[in-house]
Amino acid sequence: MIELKRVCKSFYHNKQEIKVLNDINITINDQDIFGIIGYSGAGKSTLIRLINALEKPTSGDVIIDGHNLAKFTHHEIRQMKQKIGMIFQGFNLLESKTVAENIALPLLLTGVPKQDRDKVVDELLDFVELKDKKQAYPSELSGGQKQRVSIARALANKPKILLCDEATSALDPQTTRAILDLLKRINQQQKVTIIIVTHEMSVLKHICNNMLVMENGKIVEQGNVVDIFQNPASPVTRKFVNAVIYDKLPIRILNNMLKHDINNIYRLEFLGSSCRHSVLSDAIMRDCGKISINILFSNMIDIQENVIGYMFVNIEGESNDVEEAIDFLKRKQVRIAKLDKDGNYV
Amino acid sequence: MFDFNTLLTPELFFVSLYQTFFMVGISLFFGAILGTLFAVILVITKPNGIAEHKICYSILNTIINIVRSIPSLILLVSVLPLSYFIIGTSYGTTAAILPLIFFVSPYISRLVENSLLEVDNGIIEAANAMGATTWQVIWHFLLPEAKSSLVLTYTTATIGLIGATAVAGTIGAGGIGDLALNYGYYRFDHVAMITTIITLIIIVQIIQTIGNKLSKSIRNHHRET
Repeated sequence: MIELKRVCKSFYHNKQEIKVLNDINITINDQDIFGIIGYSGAGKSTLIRLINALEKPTSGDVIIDGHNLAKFTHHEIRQMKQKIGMIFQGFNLLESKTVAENIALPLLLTGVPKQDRDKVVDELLDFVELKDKKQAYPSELSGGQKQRVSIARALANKPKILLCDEATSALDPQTTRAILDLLKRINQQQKVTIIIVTHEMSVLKHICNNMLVMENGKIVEQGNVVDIFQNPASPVTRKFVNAVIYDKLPIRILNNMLKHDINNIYRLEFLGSSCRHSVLSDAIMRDCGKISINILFSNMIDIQENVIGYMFVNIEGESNDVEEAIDFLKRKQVRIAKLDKDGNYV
Repeated sequence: MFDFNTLLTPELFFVSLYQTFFMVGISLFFGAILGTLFAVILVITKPNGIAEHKICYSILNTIINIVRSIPSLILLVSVLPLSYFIIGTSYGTTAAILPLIFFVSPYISRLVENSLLEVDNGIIEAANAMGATTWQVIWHFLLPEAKSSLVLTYTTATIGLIGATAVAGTIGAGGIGDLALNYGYYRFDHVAMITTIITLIIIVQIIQTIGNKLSKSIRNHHRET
């Protein structure tokens, strides 16, 4: 378990204090995949570096498996670092060494004999599916392959924790997907706790269980990924969520509707169970076709077997029939909001 | 007009050449060791370095700056008395080696420092994240990653050193510089002068070409395997 308690971190520039982290409290359970999201400068990279002691907190405690890092000697810190793997946006592979030599580096540092190093390297190359690149140099590899090598290197000492600092930010979407799948496999097969720093919500959506959102060195929201996607509380979080799922009708579609004098626009919010029932057809059927529901726009995503999404519909009919239909939908746990004149959903 | 009478004999030429190589070889060897050592100390003790140490950094940095700011001829003659204490003479090829080491070490350390600073900070961070000791960071990360750049650095240093040995020739160190000065200049021996110049050009060309090729092959060695 990783705990950060009342952690603050300041840097000093020309004797002026710059607060990078402010009162950070986090608990990350073993074998969790934990996401940290925020815009650049939010402090998330500094935060992740506190966990493997690349940065020291100005105040507060970083506690790993019950051990306070502040009480560790230099030697103990080094031993602890060897049990925490880290991968980076820029891969940070040594250009002067082959793939095999890069992966063997952490073992070389801990004095593992050559024979054992070779064995571990072969296993890891097999695991990250890069056996044929063993003797290649990093400059011969694609971005995705480089990140696989750096993942293999991070796993060499069989760490219990893997830190990923914007590890997929330099990769294209397909490669990102493949790397995230690999991380998930590491989490499941090797029981490694994974902490991911990113500015892409799609990364969190794809593999994280828990997450937090940072802004200006503070945590603005934290919790279960599905919950946060469903109920983003703060404006920043909403912005991030909107990057993968629209909660507003796209402006061109909206203008087109207004041009044709269509105003009865509703936003239906589907969360979890409501997606599994035929709510829309039920709403029409129960009124024997007194109302019509026209789907204008819809977008749904899946987060770890949960489907969430928004559907924008135009409901036409007698006003009390429409009211009844809306009540019916509400009873079926569909959250519903009407588009008002100002473009807000109320 | 041009005078083709010369005192330059093949024997004299080769002895001078040998003296030059001897001076360059020995002082390069010690200069490279000392210079690289100073550079590594500078890079790791610099502000935000992996073993930050303000006092150590500023002392070494200042000493290197001071020595570097003295023109080579003045530096050579000022260190010569020290040669007398150590090897018992302040004249000749052997006596010139100590001043040459004094000259080339700070020079190499500045060049090596630049090479080491070129190494991507991310590499050092990765090393830190792995729990590498300071020594391990230097040996397994910093120096290997700077290797190709270091070869060019030592090439530049060697050429600079050849220049310095020619200057040392003027204070009685022998070698090819001595040939140019004592025969070419004082005795108006044009053949000696031209031979010296051409020889220096050829040596420098060869060293630079070898250095470039070696550095390039280290940078791209994967293409040749």
